[in-house]
Amino acid sequence: MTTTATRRRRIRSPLDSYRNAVFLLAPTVALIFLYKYVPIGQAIWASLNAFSVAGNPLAFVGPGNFARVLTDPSFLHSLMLTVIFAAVKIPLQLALGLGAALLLYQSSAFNSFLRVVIVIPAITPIAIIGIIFLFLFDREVGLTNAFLTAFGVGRVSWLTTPATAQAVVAVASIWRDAGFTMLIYLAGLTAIPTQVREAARIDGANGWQSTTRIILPMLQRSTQLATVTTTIAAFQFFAPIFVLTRGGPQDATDVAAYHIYEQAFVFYDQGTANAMSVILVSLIVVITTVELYVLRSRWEY
Amino acid sequence: MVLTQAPPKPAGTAQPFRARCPGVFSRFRGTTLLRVLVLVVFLGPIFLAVVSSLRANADIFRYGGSLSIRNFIPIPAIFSNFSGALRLPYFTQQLLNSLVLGVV
Repeated sequence: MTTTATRRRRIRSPLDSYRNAVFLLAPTVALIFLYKYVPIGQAIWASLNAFSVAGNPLAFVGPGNFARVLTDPSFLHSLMLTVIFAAVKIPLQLALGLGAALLLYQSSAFNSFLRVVIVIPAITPIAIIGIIFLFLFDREVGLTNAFLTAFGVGRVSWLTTPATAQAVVAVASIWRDAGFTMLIYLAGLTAIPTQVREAARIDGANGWQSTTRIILPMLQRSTQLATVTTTIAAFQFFAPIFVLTRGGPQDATDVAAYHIYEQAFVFYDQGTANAMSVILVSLIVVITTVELYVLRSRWEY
Repeated sequence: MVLTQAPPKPAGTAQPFRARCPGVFSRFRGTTLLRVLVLVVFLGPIFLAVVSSLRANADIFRYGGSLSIRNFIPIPAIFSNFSGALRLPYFTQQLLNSLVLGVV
């Protein structure tokens, strides 16, 4: 009897629970700290130092790298391009993802097939998407120019003209990521209780009224998630540019992520590249925080 | 014997369904067209990549830039691109690396 009571007391001891929690969580916390926060700390430290081409730290320069980067016209140009790219990509991708979700929400065999079709680009390696678009928009063998010439329009140098190269890169990005946005909205649509829609229908709401006044407000959380993830993806956009345009023509697609890559791995200027990275990450954090606040849900259901 | 007339049909019954519910048909056409557009836009580039993988390089450059049927249907379909890719040094190892990374 006494032994049982002692064991019960031991099990309930808060100290034991605390030790168990520490023991179980320690490996995970250590790994997260080691592989997430230590590299971030290293990047911040590196942004405060000057490095040799071989990657050895030369001197502590403090905020000198930041001052130089923030007055560098090419970096400011790449930041501006990134912001414009995000301003084009985010609304178009959200509209496309939402439209696809509303179109394909009803369950049918064809809709299920189309949902898979829209998600295929999202699971295709991004380098392959770059190659696909390289062939589609090639001046000589591309199918886009084949259609244009069939309609009497001359061939367009899609990837060597600044404006069209920016458009191709944006289209490739939206085409790839729209499937992911559609999945977010489909999950949101599934979570809306059917009674709410039925009540709206019984009250005489037509399809448009039901969509704009019931469904869209109730998809606020999905919109918040989709906006934040799309913003982060837009600001980190790199791989299709690497495959398609290499930042060209005339720096027309030299977005911030590609600019940082060039600083780090083409010019081997680690300190400057890290300072640029810190600035880019800070910008992403500020913008996504504003988005999270502005798009916070005002609905509970 | 009393002959009784058949009860009159409610108004509008004689009209075909298409005339009674025009919205259903217009909506059907619109959404079906949109679905086909989605299919072409999202599957088209992937389909062209698959078709290109079944064509010889010479074919791609000979018929590229035109709306030849050979750009959409691989005639003749060849599989040497696949066997060539699998014979490339390190390609199978790279595939295995991707698989291991995916599993881990």
